[in-house]
Formats: sequence, C-alpha cells, structure tokens
Amino acid sequence: MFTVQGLSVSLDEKAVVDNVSLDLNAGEVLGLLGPNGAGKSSLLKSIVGLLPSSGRLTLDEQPWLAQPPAYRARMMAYLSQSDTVTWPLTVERVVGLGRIPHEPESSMARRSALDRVFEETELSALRSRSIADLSGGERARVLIARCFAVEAEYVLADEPIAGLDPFHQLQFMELFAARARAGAGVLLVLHDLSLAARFCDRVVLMRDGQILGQGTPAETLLPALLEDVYQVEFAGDVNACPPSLIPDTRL
Amino acid sequence: MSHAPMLVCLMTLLVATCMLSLLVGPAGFGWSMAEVGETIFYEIRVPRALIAGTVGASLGLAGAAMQGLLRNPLAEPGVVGVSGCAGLGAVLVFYSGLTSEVTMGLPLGGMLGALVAVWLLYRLSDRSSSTLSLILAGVAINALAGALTSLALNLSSNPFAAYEIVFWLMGSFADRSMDHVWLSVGPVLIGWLLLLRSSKGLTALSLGEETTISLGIDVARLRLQVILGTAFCVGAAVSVSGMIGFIGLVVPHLLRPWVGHEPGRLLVPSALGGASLALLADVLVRIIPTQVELKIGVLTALIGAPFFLSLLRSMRKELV
Repeated sequence: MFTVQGLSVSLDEKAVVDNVSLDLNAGEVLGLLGPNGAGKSSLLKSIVGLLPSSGRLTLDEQPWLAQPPAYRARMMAYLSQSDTVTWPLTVERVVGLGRIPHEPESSMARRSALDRVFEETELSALRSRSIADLSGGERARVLIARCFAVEAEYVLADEPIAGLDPFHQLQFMELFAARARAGAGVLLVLHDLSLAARFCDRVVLMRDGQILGQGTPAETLLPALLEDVYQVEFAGDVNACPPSLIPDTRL
Repeated sequence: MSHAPMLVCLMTLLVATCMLSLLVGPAGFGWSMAEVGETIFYEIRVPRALIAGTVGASLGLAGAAMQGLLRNPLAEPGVVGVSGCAGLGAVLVFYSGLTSEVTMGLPLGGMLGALVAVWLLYRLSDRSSSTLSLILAGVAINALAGALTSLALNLSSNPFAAYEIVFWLMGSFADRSMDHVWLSVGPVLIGWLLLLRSSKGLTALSLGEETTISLGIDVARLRLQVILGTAFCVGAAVSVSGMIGFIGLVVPHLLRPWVGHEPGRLLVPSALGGASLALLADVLVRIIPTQVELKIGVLTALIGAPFFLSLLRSMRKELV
C-alpha cells in the first residue's frame, strides 16, 4: 500500500497542495477529481519526485523518496500530462523506453515484456510505425503502453483521457481498470465524473490544494459535495447513467 | 535495426578522407617522402589532418548531443552562439597576452566562453523544446559574443594583431602544428567521453523531461554532462581552429534517419561524419583555385547557411 500523509507542496510560496493524506491500494483504481488548479497534478508530481514537498510518503511502510531512483522507477510508473515525444521514433522504441528502469535486462526478458504490453494495449500492428504518423488517439495509447511497459506496481496517470472522444475514453479507462485487476494500484487524474463513477473503486475530491471528500463514487460523488468542489450545480445523479462500450467492440 | 553497416561506411569514409587530406596539398599530390618531403608531411599535413578530424568530430558530436538535450534539430554550436562565445574567450586570452604565460590559455579561454554560452542557452531557451525560443536565445548569445569580440578588435592597439584575429576567427586548419594538437587533445577527449556517456539519457529524453525523471534517470546530471562535454570539446576545438559552423547541424541531420531518429545512437555516427566532412572540406579549400586559400569556416558557412534555411523552411509549420 502506498500512503500519503500530510503532504504539502508550495510553488512560489503559495501552497498548491495543502496537508493532503490518502492511501493507494494495490488492485484499485483511485480517481483524483477537482477543478483546474486544485493541485491534482502537483500532488502526482510530488509523489513521483518531480516537485519538492513536505510530508510523509511511504510504500509498504518504507519511506518512499529515500529509496534509490532506479527502485522508485521500477515500482511506480508515471504518465505525464504535458510530455510529448520529440523525435519520430518507432512505436516499438517508444514503448521500449519504458523498460529503462529494468536495465540491465536480457533481451529475451525485454522482448517478452514488450510482447505482453503490446498485446494488452492491442498495439501490436503499429509496432514498426513511426509515432509521428499516428493519429492523436493512437499516440495517446502508445504513451499509455510506454507507461505500462514499466510493469510497475503503481501507475500514476495525469489526465490520460483528456482530449479523447468518448469511445477512446472508455477504451483507455478499460485498460487502466484491467491493470488494476491484474494487481496494480492505479491513480488517475480525471475530469469526467461519470467515467470516474463507473471505473474508479474510490475517488478523492480536491479543491484549492485540499481534500474535500474521499470514498466510493456512490458515497462521494453527491450533488452537494460536487457543488462545493466545482462551484457548479449538478442536476442529476452522476452515478445514475454511466456510459459503456458497445459489447464486443475491439480497441 | 542494427546500424553496424552504417558505422562501417562512415569509418571507411573517415579513413578515405583522412588519406586524401594527407595526400593533397600545395606541395603536390603524393604519398612517398621523396615526392612531398618528410618535413611537409610530418610538420604540416599530419597535424592538419589530425586537427581537422578532431575538430570535425567534436562539432558533429556536440551538435548531435545538443540537439538531443534541447530536443530540437536546429541546436548547433555555431547557430546558437557556443562557437561564437568560445571564439570570444580565445580572443580575450589572445588579446590579454595570457597565451605566452599560460600554455593552456587559449583552449581554457575557449572552453570558458563555450561554457558560458551553453549555460546561457539552456537558461534562455526556457527548458521547452520550442524552436523559436532556441533560435532567439541563439541570436542573443551570438549578438553578445559578436559585440564583445568587435570591442576587443576595436580597442586593439596593434592593427596587425586585429587583422590576424579576424582571419583566425574565420576558421582554418592551415599552418597548425603538433603543438596545437597536444594543446587541444586533452579537453577534446574529456568532452567526447562526457557526451558519449550521455547516450542513454538523451534517448530517454525524447519522451520529455518529466517522463525521463520518472524512469529513474538523473536529468540534472545529464544536463550538466552535456553542457560540460560540449563546452570542453567545442571550446578546445574553436581555440585551435577558429569558428567552423554548420558541421554540427548538417551531419546529425543527414544521419538521423539512419539511426531511427534516436538521439543516443546518433552520437558516434555524427562524430565520424563530422570528422569526415571537416577533412573533406579541408581538402576542398586546398584544391579550389583561389588566389588566397579559402578559409574552411567560410566554405562550411557557404554550404551550411542555405542548408539551415531549407531546414527552417521545412519546420515552418512548427514555428507559427
């Protein structure tokens, strides 16, 4: 179990994450929700070690940030919201870079790990294509595959489905849910409440760097609390009619 | 996906251009001592070929590494002002008369100048891979180096010294001795080592800085390694040969598709290709029949500048 206790992050002397505590369990999808500027991305970045923070982070009761970077990289995979691939590398190579934390690794082990990931994300047909020639949706899926290639016990993804159409959003959420069923702890920053309701085991609601509520979607995504968090009025129940893929659709 | 055949080709090319460089010169085309004269061969052609090779390799390698670090195909020691600052550093040392007191004065001045430039460039280009901010940073650094170099020349009390500096800055491998080779070889080798060791990190950096850090790579160290490596080899190279532009732009650009666009795998081929191109250009300036020998820096600029323009043109979409 990964535990965050009293985590605070300051940027330019302003507290963007303020005394946040939460747990991420193996095998669950945890949704992190809240308006823009709530501190969701900063929370993720500080967990990965990209931003300096104060507070206590532990993995299975061991202090997290004190571990060697290579170990942390193997245990936790991170999908950035803003990073893009600079050069027109092949899909195979981009996903293969996800194996860096496991180096040195035998070419056989590497190969079978990549085969698993390509099968899981159904990207095998694109392996030798250049990432520059792919559609936006395909490219996003390659970056998720890169993240999965780490085969980490914990996966942190910052708005992985932003900018995708409803069909692709569902596909990608299915991928993350499958990762969790395979035993990983998955933490996703999301904006889509109905998708969160459908796919997350638990959700955390943030505003102004603080947690306003956490629990199962059914007990947390309630109109009164959502109005506090987002400052908008919610007429219906977001838990009531979540979208779903048409049965037997392939990715 | 093996690029071994390409490496073999590049090495063959390097050996061929090296031979050519040793064979061709005003004293005649020839190999045996009787034909050329032992002195000319050992005192002029060998050091000239050695310097052309190491300087070309340094420029090609540094270009490829900077492009990897700044994630931009237009980063090149000359274009972004690193060579200009190295030249300024060397001119200041030359001007202050330190060369007679400190043996390593010239390469040290060059390295310091290059270091300041790469550091400035890194700060100014706002850590994004935006082409515009990179080019603007390069323009600013080049302008600064140019202004200060002009100031040094302007204030020079000896017009002949100023004239000499101007000619030296144009870049040339002519009239260099083994002393120049020994002077530059240490820092150049250290620079190469630093840059070659950054190969894995530069490839990972294709994914962006945050992702690279999340993969357990120390990006701050990688950055320092490339900055120091570039400063060492470009600084030392410029201090013995003057400014030779565009090798670091043209060579990596031509070779990139052959290594699957991977920044890390581009390093060694760019060094080999850079050395070959410099040697070849140096042979060309010797056989092009001009009244005064053409400076190699002038030749590479004549070829490189249109190349740079066409590259900019192909990247137009990104610039808007």
